[in-house]
Amino acid sequence: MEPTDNKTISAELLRYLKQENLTISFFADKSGINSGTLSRIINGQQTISVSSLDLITKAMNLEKGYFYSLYATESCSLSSLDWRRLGPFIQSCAELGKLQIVDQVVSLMMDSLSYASHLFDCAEHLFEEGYKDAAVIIYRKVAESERYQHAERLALCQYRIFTCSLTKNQEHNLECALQLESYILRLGEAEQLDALKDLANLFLSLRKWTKARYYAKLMGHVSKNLYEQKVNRKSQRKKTIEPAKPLFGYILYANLMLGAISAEDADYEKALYYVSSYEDLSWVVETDEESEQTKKQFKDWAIGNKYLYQLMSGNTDVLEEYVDYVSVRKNEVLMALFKIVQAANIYRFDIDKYLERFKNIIMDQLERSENVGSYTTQFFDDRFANFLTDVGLYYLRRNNIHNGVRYILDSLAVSYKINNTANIVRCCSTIEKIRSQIDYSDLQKYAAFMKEVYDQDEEKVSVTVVNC
Amino acid sequence: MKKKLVSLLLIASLVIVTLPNVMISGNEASPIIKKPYTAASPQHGEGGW
Repeated sequence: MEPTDNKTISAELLRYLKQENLTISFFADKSGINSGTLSRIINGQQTISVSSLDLITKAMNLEKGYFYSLYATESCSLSSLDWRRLGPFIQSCAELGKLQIVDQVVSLMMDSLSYASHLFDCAEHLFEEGYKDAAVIIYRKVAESERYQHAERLALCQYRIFTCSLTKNQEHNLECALQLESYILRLGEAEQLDALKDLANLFLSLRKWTKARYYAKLMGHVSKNLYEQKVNRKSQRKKTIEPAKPLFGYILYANLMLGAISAEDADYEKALYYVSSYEDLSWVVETDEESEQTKKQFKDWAIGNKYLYQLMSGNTDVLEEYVDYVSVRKNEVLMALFKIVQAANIYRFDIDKYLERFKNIIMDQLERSENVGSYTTQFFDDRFANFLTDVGLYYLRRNNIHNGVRYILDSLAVSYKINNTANIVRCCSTIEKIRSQIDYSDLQKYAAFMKEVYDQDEEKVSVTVVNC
Repeated sequence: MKKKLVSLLLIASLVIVTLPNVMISGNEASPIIKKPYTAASPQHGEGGW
């Protein structure tokens, strides 16, 4: 049974009853809808609620949502808009993944700005429930209709759009970040802290150190002020700002990020100074379970980073101790290896045994490309791509051309997947530099990969030309 | 006339003296020129909270 154009749900239902030779009361019993209600629906005297529509569709042996397209047209054009009906309808469409209908209904509703508030609350609800694609559609429409550029709701819409839009593609992520930047200071303080953290994390993943430093500093400043207010306030009744994580954690994380950025500039003295600021947590007054866990986590990171900065300063004596430290912390093994390989390339020491020992972890990450611990996908993918090149360069330096090329090719594949052009250039230039030493089968693999890249790019160009 | 000539010479010399400095400081401020690509590797906890 196909719903046809220019037909209504009630006409479709009537046609079905006639076709199946069913009475209204029989169908009312079958569907569980009151026969009077059903009669009024068929006669067009009563609008259908989403729950009744779902019962009717089920009784007609059709899949849920079969009439949703028709329902959207009827609800938004044939009768006046009613939030009590459309709210649950949008929710249901989101659950069934009927995003085009969500877009259609929300666009029509936004003709009347009085629905903006309802729609925003609906988007927040969908966002919390994990229906992010549907939520983003609504956030975009609400943001477009916002009259005042300084409105906090507009800023919150932009932050949510940013959170939901991040992918593995670095260029796309950069665009998302740039769009959010102008709204971040208009957010409420609690959301602002989370937005600053997310933005700084993203700029770190894109190696935009200046921007990452700026947002990390701002996050540290805002969180410090809020924490002082919280600790010094006299009245316990006064409402406090509560971001997603313990407030003091934002101060610690700002210092951790600033330490990481200093280390990127090879300023290990400054990096160690920042470590001390998230190592000594005697000033933190909170003692609840989540706070204790946060404290433990930062103290643990402080130990790891101390080893790491010593190693990067050229003190290779700490290597064995450092490896022991990470080997019992599964989520930190790769993070440590990233830096150990870099140090080995700078100070030219042997790490064959460590690469062999953790080979399975590296291969697992390459095959499954899964999230590691609490690290963000965007951040981890970028550093993993760099790491594979570093391992490749390590083996090439040690004249193990086959292993070196294999890692560089793996890095090339990961970099292409996340659109990390800088690392693609790094891989290709390395391969071209040692081309004469590479054996035939590895060269064939390289050529096959480049052909795949070429074909995909050609495909994109042809699509663009056709669309133009 | 003499005064004008002197002031013109002064301006010209000022431009000659300051222009290279501006260009140099411009270069120094640009991270693109100073640091074309950083093969970043992370610290523990970075990007993880």
